[in-house]
Amino acid sequence: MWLREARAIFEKEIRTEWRTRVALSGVGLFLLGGLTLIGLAFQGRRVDSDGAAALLWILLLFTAATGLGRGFVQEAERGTALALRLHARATAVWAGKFAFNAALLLALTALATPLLLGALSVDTGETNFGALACVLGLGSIGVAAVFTTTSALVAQSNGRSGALLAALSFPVLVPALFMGVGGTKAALGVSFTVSAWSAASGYITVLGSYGAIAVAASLVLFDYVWND
Amino acid sequence: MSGTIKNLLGKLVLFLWMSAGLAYVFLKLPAAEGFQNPELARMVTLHLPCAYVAVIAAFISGWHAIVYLRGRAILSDSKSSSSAALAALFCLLTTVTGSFFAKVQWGEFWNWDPRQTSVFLLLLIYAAYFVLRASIDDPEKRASVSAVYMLFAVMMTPMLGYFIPKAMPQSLHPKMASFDSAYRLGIYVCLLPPLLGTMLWLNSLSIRLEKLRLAQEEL
Repeated sequence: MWLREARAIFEKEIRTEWRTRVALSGVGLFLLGGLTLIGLAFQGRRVDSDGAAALLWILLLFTAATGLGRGFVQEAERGTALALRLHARATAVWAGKFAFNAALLLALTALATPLLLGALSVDTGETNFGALACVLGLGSIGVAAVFTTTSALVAQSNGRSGALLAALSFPVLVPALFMGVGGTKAALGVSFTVSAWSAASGYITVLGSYGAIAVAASLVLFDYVWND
Repeated sequence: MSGTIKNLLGKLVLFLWMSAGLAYVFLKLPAAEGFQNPELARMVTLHLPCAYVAVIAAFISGWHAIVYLRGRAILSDSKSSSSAALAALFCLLTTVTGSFFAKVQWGEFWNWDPRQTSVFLLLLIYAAYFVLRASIDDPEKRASVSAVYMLFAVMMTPMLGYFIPKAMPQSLHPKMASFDSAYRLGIYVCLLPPLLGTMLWLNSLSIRLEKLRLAQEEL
């Protein structure tokens, strides 16, 4: 029952997004623009794994801040939040929105990572792509969970501005950024003597538990913002 | 009448304790041998109590946020936000005293040390909390939204205190600080109680102010 509600919300998100594709094309262009700027700034110079990991994560966080904040703001602007409240439980609404945001961010990450590594001509000879996918995948899920909750808070405020979304989210996201950059560096594997998996596994565990805590905390707290 | 006397007595005790404590750490406390600059390392007796008081204020604030969400009494929200302001103030004092200490001890005002970063992040979270409060007009909505943000941040940031120092063992801060008895006296007896008392006093003042404002709105 709960799962069906959450799935219905998820499908509704995809359907409304597919009608206009505003978020998708907007965020996609933001990502491409960011990649172009980074590429131009470095002018094809080779960047080591430290720099590449930091740039990748900063690009991902800013992309998420532009793309993932719309979910609840839209419901508030169109006045459709009440209808959702009648049809589904609060946690199911959160889960459906979160699933959509996580899918969107995972797709954007999958698009951005090879492009960025290519643009910075990072040496991927020793890269462990399995570990890299784990780090980026788990990181994206945690980031999507945080933005889903903060966007619900911003939807309640005056102006519902993106600046407020970023101000609320970034301090909470720092652990994810921190562990994500470390894990990405380890998975790219240039500066470590041990294997990339064993270097990255600690980061992967922390990123996984960060995501789990973000989801659990949101499920507990979301009811209080939603049914008010 | 007896309330006034008690009030006055409380302030007097606070003032005398603070003066005696400051006199002790500035005049009597021996220089900390084994530090880069033993004379200036005394500063730790001010730095550490500020950090403790900030954490206590943060807990009080989080506690009242929970109480608000359970009972929906608007006064709990005022209590939560006034302790949050004091937590932010003491975080700022911790950051400032800490960065002077870092300059003396490690040569830089800022080292991106995990604990420096986590106190600074706490400061950012409180700043975001007050921006969020300012952007919501309806008092009840403001109360529940900001309580949720506060608790969300409280649940997400222990990650900082626990995992990141673990992942970055090269912290400049000692894992287990071992002070000798003169320093323990300076920190836990001379300065922690009066600073804590000051925080609680300021907190009660701002809650009283808030109560008056709520009563005025009802008129």
